[in-house]
Amino acid sequence: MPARRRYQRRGAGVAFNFTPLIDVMMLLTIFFMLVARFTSAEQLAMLLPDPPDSLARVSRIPERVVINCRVSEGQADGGGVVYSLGPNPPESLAGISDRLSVLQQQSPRIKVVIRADRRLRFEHVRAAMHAVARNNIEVLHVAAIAEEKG
Amino acid sequence: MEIASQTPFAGSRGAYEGEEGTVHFRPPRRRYEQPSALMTLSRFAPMIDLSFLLLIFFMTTTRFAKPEGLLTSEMPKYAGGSGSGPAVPLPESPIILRLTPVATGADDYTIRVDGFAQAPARIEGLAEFLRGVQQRPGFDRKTPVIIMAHDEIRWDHVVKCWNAVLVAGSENVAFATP
Repeated sequence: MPARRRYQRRGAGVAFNFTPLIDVMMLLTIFFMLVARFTSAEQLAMLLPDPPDSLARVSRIPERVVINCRVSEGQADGGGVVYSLGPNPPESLAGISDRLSVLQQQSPRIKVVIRADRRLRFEHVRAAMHAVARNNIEVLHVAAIAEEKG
Repeated sequence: MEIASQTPFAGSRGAYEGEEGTVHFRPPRRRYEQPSALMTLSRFAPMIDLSFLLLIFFMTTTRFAKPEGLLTSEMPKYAGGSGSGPAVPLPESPIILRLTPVATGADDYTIRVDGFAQAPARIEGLAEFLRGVQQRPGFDRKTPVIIMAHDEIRWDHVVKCWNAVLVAGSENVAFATP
């Protein structure tokens, strides 16, 4: 008579169910991957104007130069201003104007975006506008917070 | 029947004699063993590692900022001069908005519209007012609107005023020095 194997009942072990963890992780990863937008280095962090019912349009401009106008540190009332061209270190407006002149000669269809902190005085932004106009750059864009759709 | 007897499986443990003497091979039964939790974890470990890395990366780098847009304008041709800026003649019958600070260096402001005493002093209601002006004889959406902002006015107020003019439907907006 063949020896019958006895069915051995295993003891009820404590096991961790990984399925919900993986599900949630995947969902969160996909969510963050979808909502993440990578900002370029030329967009320095600052408080942009936030008009109600904003008509500012989110658009990509291929040939563009960004002039950042920030409030200088320690002068939150907008009394002091720091200008910089894109991600470059701060420089004087005259220096930026010279660089704009060179860029305009290289590509005459260049467009300029002025990103100015909302706390700045108008005189500081107007000076940047004059620097743009002086270099015969015809189209100027001004950055502001756009209306969120949906 | 002879075939069955010649089959090497005949008589072995896994062979049995079916109907009409056909011999079938039946593999030895293997009992299904549920993989242990450790085994399951080790199989999914690279995926979990990668998911965690991606998750942490996106969680730390994502900033829920409002989208940034652009207000577009065309610059006047620069006429040269000693430094005050572009010299462009003003249109004949524009709507002139004056933004002036209430007190020097203060964050507060007031708006005046030349020739319209009933104009709102704040940006709220400015778009509605300008729409009303456009309905009057001699004015329309193409009537130039000139924003004259004081040097000490905050840039935020200037942009809000500009945006209100655009919301009103004006197609010709300019900046001028007061």
